[in-house]
Parts: sequence; structure tokens; C-alpha cells
Amino acid sequence: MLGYYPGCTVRAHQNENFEKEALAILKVLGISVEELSEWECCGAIYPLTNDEYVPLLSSVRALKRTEEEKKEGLLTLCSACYHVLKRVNHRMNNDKEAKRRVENYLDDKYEGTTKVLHLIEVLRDQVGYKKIKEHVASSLEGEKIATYYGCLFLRPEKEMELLDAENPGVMEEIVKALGAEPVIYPYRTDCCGAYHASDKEEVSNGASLKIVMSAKKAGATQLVTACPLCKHNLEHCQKDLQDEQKLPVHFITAPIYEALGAEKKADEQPLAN
Amino acid sequence: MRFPTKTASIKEQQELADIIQKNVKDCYQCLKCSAGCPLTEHMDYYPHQVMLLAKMDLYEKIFNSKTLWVCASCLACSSRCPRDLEPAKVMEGLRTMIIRKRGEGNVEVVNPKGVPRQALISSMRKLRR
Ligand code: SF4
Ligand code: SF4
Repeated sequence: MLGYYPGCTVRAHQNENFEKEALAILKVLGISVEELSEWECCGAIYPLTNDEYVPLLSSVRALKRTEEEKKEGLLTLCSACYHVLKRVNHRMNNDKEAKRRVENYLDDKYEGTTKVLHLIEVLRDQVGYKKIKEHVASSLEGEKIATYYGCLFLRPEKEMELLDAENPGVMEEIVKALGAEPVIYPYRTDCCGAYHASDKEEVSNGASLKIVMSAKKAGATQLVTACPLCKHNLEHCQKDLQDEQKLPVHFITAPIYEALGAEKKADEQPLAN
Repeated sequence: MRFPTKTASIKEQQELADIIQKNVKDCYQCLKCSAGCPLTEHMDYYPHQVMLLAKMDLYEKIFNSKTLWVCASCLACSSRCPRDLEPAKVMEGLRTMIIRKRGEGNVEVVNPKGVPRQALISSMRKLRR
């Protein structure tokens, strides 16, 4: 049983179906998850300063709770939550001073046994591409799917240790397993402009449009990502384009959900939680 | 009687080093950080130039530049720096110096509507106090 950490952005944007699709897929593929009995926002961004400890606290609480509830790992869907929880975990296990101070604040100990997992990682390591392929009910043949990784999922490479940050391939493998064609284009690991969506829109729109145009030029019929903020930026930057020029942006779960026929299968049995 | 032994600029050097635990003097100006930075078109100093200014103790120039507020902490530079200096961290340290001591961060959240909360929380944490 994996502990499940929804994160506040995914929870708040239920209409985007990221959570619904992810839980349905996991159910179909036989991975059981249970939401942590209590969790708070991880802080959305990892603090790079060495002398601030308070921004680490909420993540440590989630890591600790996973330990207490004896879960086999802590699953996240959002790349940002994954990034923050994983780096905080890394810091707690490698920086004695941070650990001491955090435990002092919390007046509690964290053993450091929790493993932070991303949905994509679970699909790769615990399910496997072969099994995904076996579960495909309607192949996505003919779709050309461009995968977008963004920053937080990949970097810093030596702490995230999930993928080759310069040339990742997991989402492409998943797309292939679904019967679609993965589209490789130059900017799939470049930044979308991130939080500048809220203060310097011209920066995030510019960075995102470059990515979208590059994917389109490479022949993509849709763009997929695992980050709610990337998805927002990649969609928002296209607001002035004509409808027929727009490249649809989805969560990576959408094509999987579709290919597995997860809606129908999930209906037969109610989802966890 | 005690005389101050540190000049202002050494104090800033020390402050930065305390915040980020890195020595900017280790930068050998290979430009790898700037070459991969996706946002340089909006910057007045490129990331390696910020490193150089910090090396030369020209903090006022950095504090008045746009670059610190344009950096999106995407960590491309940090992942690639051959000296492991984490330029994104240096940027954060410099921003933090401004935010802590020199008053407000210099950005406003202008577009809170319809923006994922992840962006709002991040920009508050990165750019303001
Ligand atoms: S990549 Fe590192 S060593 Fe090279 S210029 Fe940038 S900060 Fe300096
Ligand atoms: S972290 Fe900042 S300076 Fe470094 S590559 Fe990204 S935007 Fe450029």
C-alpha cells in the first residue's frame, strides 16, 4: 500500500481530472494507494537558502506521517510536490544541522525511511511498460504525442535521480506502450516560465510558447505533462492563437486513461478514498 | 576600542556565503549556466555575469539588476554547473539578501486569477516577504 499525497494544486483543480484519472489508472493496473490521513501543502517550491528551516516543516510532517502509517512509499502526481518532498527528504537524510533544527521545531523524530515516488516512476518501476501495454483496451495509434518534462521533475539531477535530465525517456516509453507515437522535440526539458505566470506573464508566455511551437513543428497532435503549473503555462501562452492553431495540452494521465478504458473499468469498482 | 575589520563588501560576501554555503569565487566563468538559461532574453546580466559581479564584490550592480527577479529557479544552470556552484541558489541568496535587509521584494502579484496556486505560493516564497 502506497501513501498518497494529493497536493493542494491537484486537489484544488479537480475539474482538470488529474487525480481522478491517476487513481483510476492505478486501480486498473493493480497498485493500491491510500491518502495520508492528514497532509498540508508542501510549500510548492523548495527553499534554496541554507539558513531557513521553517519551509521544510510541512513536508517533513508528510514524510513522517508516511512512516507512521507504515506505507511503502509516498506517491505524488504533481511534479512540484514530488520535487519538494524528495529534496526535503534528501536534506533530512544528508544535512545533520537541518535535521536537528527541524526535529527541534517539530519536537519529534523522523527516521528517514520514507521513499518519495512520482506516478510516472510507479508506472515505470512497479507496473512496467509491458503491463501497461497488456492493459490497453483501445490503442492510440495515429496520435503523435509530445511529452513535456519541465524542470522540477528532472532537476537537480543528482538529487532527483529519476531520469536523465538532459534526455529523459520515460513518458515516451509510456506513450509507445499506448500505441501512440512519441514526438521528440528540442525543448522538452526547458523551463515553461514557472511561477512567473503570476507576476511576469510575458516571461512565462514567451518561454512556454517556444516549447509549444517546437512540439507543433515536430508534428505533435497533443502535448502531455505531469505538472499542473506547466500545463497552465503551456495552455495559457496559446490564448491568442486561432483555435485550429492550438496544440491541446493534457496531463500524462489523460492518454493512459483513454487507452486503458479506465473510466469503464473504474466504474465497475469504486475508487479508493 | 574595537575597529571594524570588514569592509561593507566583505560583509555582503559573508552574508551571501552564510545564506547559500557556496563560494562564488570558485566560478571559472565557463558560461555553461548562461548558455542553457531559457530566460536570458529578459535579463540585463546573464547568470555567469551575476557570478562575476559577485566575485568582484559589485553587489550594488546585482541588487539593481532585473536578473534576480527574472530567474525562474528552473535549476538548469545548477544541474549543469561543472563547479557545482548552483547558480540558481546564488540567485536565491542574492534575492534573499534584498528581501531580508533591503526592504520588500520588487514584484507584485499582478495576475492571481486563474493561476494555479502552486504559482502563487511559489512566487510569494521566492520574490516577497
Ligand atoms: S556554469 Fe558554474 S562555473 Fe560555469 S560560469 Fe556558470 S556558475 Fe561559473
Ligand atoms: S535557474 Fe534561473 S538562472 Fe538558472 S537557468 Fe533557470 S532561469 Fe536561468
